[in-house]
Amino acid sequence: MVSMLALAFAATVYPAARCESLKALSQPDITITAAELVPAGPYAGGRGQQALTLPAYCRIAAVLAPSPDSHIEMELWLPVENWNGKFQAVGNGGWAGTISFPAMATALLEGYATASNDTGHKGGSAQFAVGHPEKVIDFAYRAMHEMTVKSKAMITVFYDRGPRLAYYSGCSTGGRQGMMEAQRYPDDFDAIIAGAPVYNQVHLNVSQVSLQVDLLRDASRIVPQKKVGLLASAVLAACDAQDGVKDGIVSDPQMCRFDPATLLCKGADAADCLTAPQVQAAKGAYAAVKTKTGESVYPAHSPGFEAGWRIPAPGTPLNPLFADMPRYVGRQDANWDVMSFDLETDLALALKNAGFIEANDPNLAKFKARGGKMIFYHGWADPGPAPANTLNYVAEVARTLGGRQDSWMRLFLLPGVGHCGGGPGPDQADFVGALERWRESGNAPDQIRASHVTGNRVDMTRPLCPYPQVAQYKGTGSTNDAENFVCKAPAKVNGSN
Amino acid sequence: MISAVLLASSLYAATSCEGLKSIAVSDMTITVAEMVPAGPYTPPAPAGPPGGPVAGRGQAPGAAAPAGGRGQAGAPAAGRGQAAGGAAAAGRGGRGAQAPAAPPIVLAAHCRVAATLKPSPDSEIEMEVWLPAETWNGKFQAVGNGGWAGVISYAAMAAALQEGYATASTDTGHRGGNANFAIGHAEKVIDFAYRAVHETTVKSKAIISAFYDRGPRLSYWNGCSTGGRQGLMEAQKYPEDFDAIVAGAPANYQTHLHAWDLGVAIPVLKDPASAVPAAKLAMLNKAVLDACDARDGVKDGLLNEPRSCRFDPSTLLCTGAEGETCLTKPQLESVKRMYSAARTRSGEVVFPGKDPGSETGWTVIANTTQPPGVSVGSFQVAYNDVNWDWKTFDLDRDLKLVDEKVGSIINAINPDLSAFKARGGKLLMYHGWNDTAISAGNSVTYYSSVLAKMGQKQDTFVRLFMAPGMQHCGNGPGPNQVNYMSALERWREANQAPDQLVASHVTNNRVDMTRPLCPYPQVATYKGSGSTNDAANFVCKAPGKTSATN
Repeated sequence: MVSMLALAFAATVYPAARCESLKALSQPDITITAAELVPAGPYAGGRGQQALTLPAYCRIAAVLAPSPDSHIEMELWLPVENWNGKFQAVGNGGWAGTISFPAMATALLEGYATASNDTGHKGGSAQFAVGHPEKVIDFAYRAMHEMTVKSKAMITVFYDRGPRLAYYSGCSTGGRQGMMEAQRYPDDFDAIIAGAPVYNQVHLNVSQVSLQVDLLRDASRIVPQKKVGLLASAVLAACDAQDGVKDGIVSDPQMCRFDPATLLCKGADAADCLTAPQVQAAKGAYAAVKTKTGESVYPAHSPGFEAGWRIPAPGTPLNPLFADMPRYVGRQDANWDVMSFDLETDLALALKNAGFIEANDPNLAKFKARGGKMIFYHGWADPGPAPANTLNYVAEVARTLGGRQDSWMRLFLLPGVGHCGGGPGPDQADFVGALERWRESGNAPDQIRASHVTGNRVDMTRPLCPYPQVAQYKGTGSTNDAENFVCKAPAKVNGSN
Repeated sequence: MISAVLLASSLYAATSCEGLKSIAVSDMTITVAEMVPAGPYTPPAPAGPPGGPVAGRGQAPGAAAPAGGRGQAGAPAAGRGQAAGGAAAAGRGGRGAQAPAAPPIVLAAHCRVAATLKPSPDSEIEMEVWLPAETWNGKFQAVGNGGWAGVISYAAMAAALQEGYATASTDTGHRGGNANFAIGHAEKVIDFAYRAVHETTVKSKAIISAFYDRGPRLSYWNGCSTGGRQGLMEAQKYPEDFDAIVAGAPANYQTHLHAWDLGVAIPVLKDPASAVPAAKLAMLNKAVLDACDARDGVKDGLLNEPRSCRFDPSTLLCTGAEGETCLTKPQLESVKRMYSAARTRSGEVVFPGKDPGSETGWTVIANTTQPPGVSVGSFQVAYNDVNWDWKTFDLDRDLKLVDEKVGSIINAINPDLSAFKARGGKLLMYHGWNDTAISAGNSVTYYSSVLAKMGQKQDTFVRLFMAPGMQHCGNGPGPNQVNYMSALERWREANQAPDQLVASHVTNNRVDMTRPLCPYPQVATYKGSGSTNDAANFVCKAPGKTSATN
C-alpha cells in the first residue's frame, strides 16, 4: 500500500549539492550551462499580474547539439521535494524560439519534473530555416525528442530512478509536437495532450497565405473589421439556437448551415450588408482552400470563428506566423514578394524542403500498443488551425487502426473557443487531470468540466464531450452550469420536456 | 417543452411595462416603469457609504452574485497563485493572438420598475424589480444586501436577470452603508431588520402577477452576509415568502457579532503594544499551516477541518527580546482573543472566534486606528447616539443593552424552521472557514441549533457547506466560486439534493483549483492519487478520515 501521506510528506528532500552535481553530466551533444537550486518563492514569469509561488526546484539549463548546426536550448526543472514521480514535457507555440516557462511552472506546481525547449532557434520567426536544414529538423521533431531523452536521463541521475510515467502537454505547435512524438517516437511518452494541433503546418500556413493574398489581389473583397461583427451576428442568428440554448455560442457548427449571401447588399454598400465581393471573401473563409485542380489543401473554418478572422490590411506585412513558411522554408528568400505567391508552387516548395514538419502519419499502433493515451482538443471557433482538420486526422487514425479507438484516444471539441483558449465558450479545463485518471486509474474521460472566466469570475461551466458527442441541455436549470448538461450523440434539439 | 421556454419569445403584456405605474398596491408608489432594451450593462455607481466599514472590513457588500457576471458567486482576490490545467496551459504561443474576445455583459430586455414603499409613516424603502421582457423562466429571485445595506444590489440583480429570473432588491429603507439612519428612527430599524425585504417580496410578486398575468411559479432568495441574515430571517419569520433560500455567511446574530468585533478590536486600540502587525500574522498563519495543513492529507495551504487543528499560539511566545518570529505577551493575548469565543463575565458564549488558517485577514488586530465602523453602528443604535464613544465599550453592559433595544428585531437566530420546511422549502447555507468578517463558527452554531431544535436528520431541507480557505462571501486561497443558485434549483425543482458543490479558485483569470464543497459535517477528502487541484480527485466523507484506499 502506498500511503498518500508517505507520498506527500515523507518524500526525500534533495540537497543543493546533488543538483549542482548534474553539471558533470555534460557530453559531446549536451552542455549543461546551469544546475542550481532555486528556493521556493514567487515566480514572476507566469501569466497575469499575480505572481505564482513555486516550490523549490533544481533548475537545469542545457544546450543540445544533435547535429553540428544544432543549438537547442532546454530547461529541466526537478522538484526537490514532493516529486510526483512523473515527467511532463510541455510544448511550444507558433515558430517556437522560446522555452515555455509558464507551462513549466504549471507542471512543476503539480509535482512534475518538467522540461521545455526552444526547438533550436531564438525568436518566433522562421528566418532560422534559411540555409539551415538541420535546424529545420530540430524544429520539426528532433529538439523535442532529444530533450525528452536527455531529461529522462537527468531525472534518473537526480532521483536515482527514472520517471514512472512521462506525459506530454501542448497546444498549437505544441499539439503538432505531441502528435509527432506519438507517431515518430512512441516510446517517449505514456500519455499525450495535443491541443489545436498545427500538425500539417505546411498545408495550414500555405492555405493561410493563399486566403490573404486572394484578398490583397482584389481589395474590394476585404471585409472591413466593423462588418465582421455583422457576419458573426448573422451566424449566431442562424445557428445559435439550433442546440436548444441561445447563449452566443454555436455549439455544433457541423449542423450550422449559414450562407453569407444572406447579407448581400440590396442596393449600395452599407454598414449592415456585404457587397458581392465581400460575400465572396466570406464564403472563402468558410471554404476549404483548394488547388486549381480542386484538391483540398486545408479544410474550412467553422461558423462561429468570425471574431478571429484574419483579414489582411494592404500595405501591412503578412503575419510571419504563416508567411514565413513560403518565405523562409519554401523559397528560402527573405526578400520574396508575397504577392508572387502561387499555391501549387509554394506548397510544393515548402513540402520539398520541410515535408517532415508535418505530423500526419495516422498509424499510432505502436503508441497504442504500449498503453499510450491521447487526448486531442480543439476550439470550434479556432481561426487558425481548423477543427475540421483535427477531425480529419482522428478519423484517419480510426480508419488506419480499424474502427473505434476511444479506449485510448479521444477528441474534445470546444464550442465557442478560439485558438487554444479565448472566446465566449468555456475554455478552461484540466486536461492533464483527466489524462492522469485515464492513464493511471483507467477512468476514461467521458466528459471534462470546462469553465469560462470573465474578470476573474467563473461565469459559465459546461461539460466538454468526446467527439462525436455534444453537450446537450437537460432542459431545466441554469444554462451556465455544467450539471444541467449531458454528453450525448448529436441529434435533434432536446425536446424531452 | 424547452424550446418553447427558450426560443419562443412571447412578449409579455398582460399589463404593459409603463402601465404598471397605474396599478394600485397599498403603501407603494411606483416611480419608474420603463422598458430597458437589451444591451450592455453598467451597474450604477453606488452611493458612497459615508462612515462605512472602517479598516476595510466588516460585513462585505456581498450579495452572493457576481458583478454582472453570468452565474457563480464569490470573487477571488489574494489567492494561492497556482496555474493549473487551463485549456491552453501548455504551449500556447503566438497563434493565440487572434482568439475572439469574451462578450461584454449584455442584459436581456426587461421592464424596470422602481418603487418606494411606506409600510410605516417613517418608512422610505426604495426597491427595484426587473422583469424579463421575453424568456422569463417563470421564477422570482430576490437578492440581498451587505453590511448596513443602504443601496440596491444592482449587480446581483443583473446576474439573476441573466438567468431569466424576475428579480428584486431593496435598499432596506435608507441610503448609505452605516447605522446613522437608525438613530431616532425605530421604524427604520424595523425596515432594515426584516420589513423592507418582506414588503419588497410581497410587492414584487404583485408586480410580477400584474405584468405576466400570473405569479412566479417559484421564489428564490439569494444573499450573503447581511443578505444571509435576511434569508434566514425570511425563513424564520415569513416562511411563505420563498420556496428556496441561499444564505451565505449570514450576519444573523448581528448584535453579538458586533459585540465580538469590538471585544477584540478595542483592547488593541487601547494598548497598541498588543497590535499584531501583518508580518507577524503571516508568521502565525505559517506556523498554523505547518502544524495542521497536512492533517487532511493534502498540503495545500488549506485546512479542511480547521476546528480539529490544535495549534497553541503560546508556542510562539518570545523567549528573549521581541523578534519577527515570535509574539510578545500582549500580542499573544490579542491572538488568543481572536481564536476565542467572546464570553460574558458569567461565562455565556457571545459569539465564536476566528478559525485557524484565517490569520492573515486579521486586520482588526493589526495596525488599525478605529474599530470596525459597521460594528460600532450597533452600539450607536443601542445608545441612540451617533457620537457614542467606543472607548467606553463594556461587553456585558453594552451587549445587554443592544440586545434589549434591537436584538430581537435584527437577529435571525430562531432555530425553528418547521413552517418553511413544511411547505417544501430548501435552505442552502455556506460559509468560508477563512471568513474574518463573520466567524465561520456562527454558521455551524446556527445550523446545529436547527438540528437540535428540529431533530438531527434535516438534510432533506437544510444543508450547510463550509468552504476551506474561503473568506467572507468569496475570495481567499481556497476555491470560492460556486454556482449555489443552480444547485438549489436542482434541489428544489428536481429533488436532487446537493451532495457536493464544485468550487473553483481563479488566479489571473485562470481556474487553478477545483474542489468539492461538502455538506457539513462532511469534508472533501483526497482520493490519494492525481492532481490535488482537480475536484474529481476528491470525495465528500465524514471528517477525521484520510483516504487510505491505495
